[in-house]
Amino acid sequence: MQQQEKKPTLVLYGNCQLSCAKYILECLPRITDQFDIGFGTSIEIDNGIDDYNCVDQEILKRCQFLVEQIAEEEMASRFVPFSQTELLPKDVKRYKIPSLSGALYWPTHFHDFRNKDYRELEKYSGKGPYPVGDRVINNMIRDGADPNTVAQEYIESDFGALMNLARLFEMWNYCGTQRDLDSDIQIHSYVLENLQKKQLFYTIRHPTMEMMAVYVASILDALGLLYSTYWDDVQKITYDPIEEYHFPVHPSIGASYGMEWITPEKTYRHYNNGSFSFPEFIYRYAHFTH
Amino acid sequence: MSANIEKLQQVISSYFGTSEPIDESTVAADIDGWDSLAHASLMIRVEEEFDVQFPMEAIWKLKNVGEMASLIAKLREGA
Repeated sequence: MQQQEKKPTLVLYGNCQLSCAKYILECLPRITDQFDIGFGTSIEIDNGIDDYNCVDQEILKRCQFLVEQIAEEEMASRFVPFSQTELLPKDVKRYKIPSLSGALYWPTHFHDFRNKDYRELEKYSGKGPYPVGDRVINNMIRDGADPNTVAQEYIESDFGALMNLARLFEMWNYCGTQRDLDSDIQIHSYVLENLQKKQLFYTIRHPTMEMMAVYVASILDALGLLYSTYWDDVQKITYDPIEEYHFPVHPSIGASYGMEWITPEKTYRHYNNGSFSFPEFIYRYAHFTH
Repeated sequence: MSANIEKLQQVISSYFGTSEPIDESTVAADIDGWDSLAHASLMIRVEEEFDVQFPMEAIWKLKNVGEMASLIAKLREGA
């Protein structure tokens, strides 16, 4: 029997956004008929695994397209660049793509120190009950404040009065524009145009499925692989791999930026524990309820 | 140690709620929570505390706290 020739590969190298893009691409038969999809993470993690950021060599040898996320802004970036160029075929086509940032929604984003005691819990995927959190709440809790008081103060605070949100927008917009300029695939104008109309991020680095569908369409378009029924196929994907936890956007931030989708009825998911309104979520978060 | 560095120490420590030592050589990776996304908000706080406005392109090119202090000094001299 003749051995079937293996397909060429389309390899994605980047953060959780490209991992999610891999998932979407693997749900598209029109793409998987032509390519195997590979992925390597650019996230720097000190886990003792030497080749943690490497892509499988066999996948790289068949690589026709390599899509690499560019580093985030230089200072404070935890980014490991792609380092296996010597394993790629000579005729590989390489494209740079920007990462997506929801930093504008959560100016006081923080990794909650309380997670470390709960990372062993299987239901939280090693990340702890609140993989993203808030610095203001964290600092008050760390100082020993009562969680009810912390939650109430946070809910009642006006971010527009506490910090220069116009300057934050200026910085966020500058970064998004720069990332686009440094890439072969551009995405910032879509984010900018839709920021007020719809929710584009669940957490600071996790885009919604709708945003991810646009992101993947941009990739396919650049590679010359976007096809007429793509949007129909994407609609059929029922599972969202990065949707399991959200972090609520403070209504005063939503109001400052004119985000129409932030209404009193808006809820935010916390794993399988339910979806909660902004105040409910903040009380639960302050108490670290899970 | 310059006055800028001392004040920066206070601003950064209070911003991240950390007691980690901070000096000219401190880089973002030394402070828990100082990632590229927190950087923008921190820089706004620093701008407010020192009454300066960083050139946009400089904000992302600073290598450490010492460079930040030098840039603040330069901006204040030119004010």
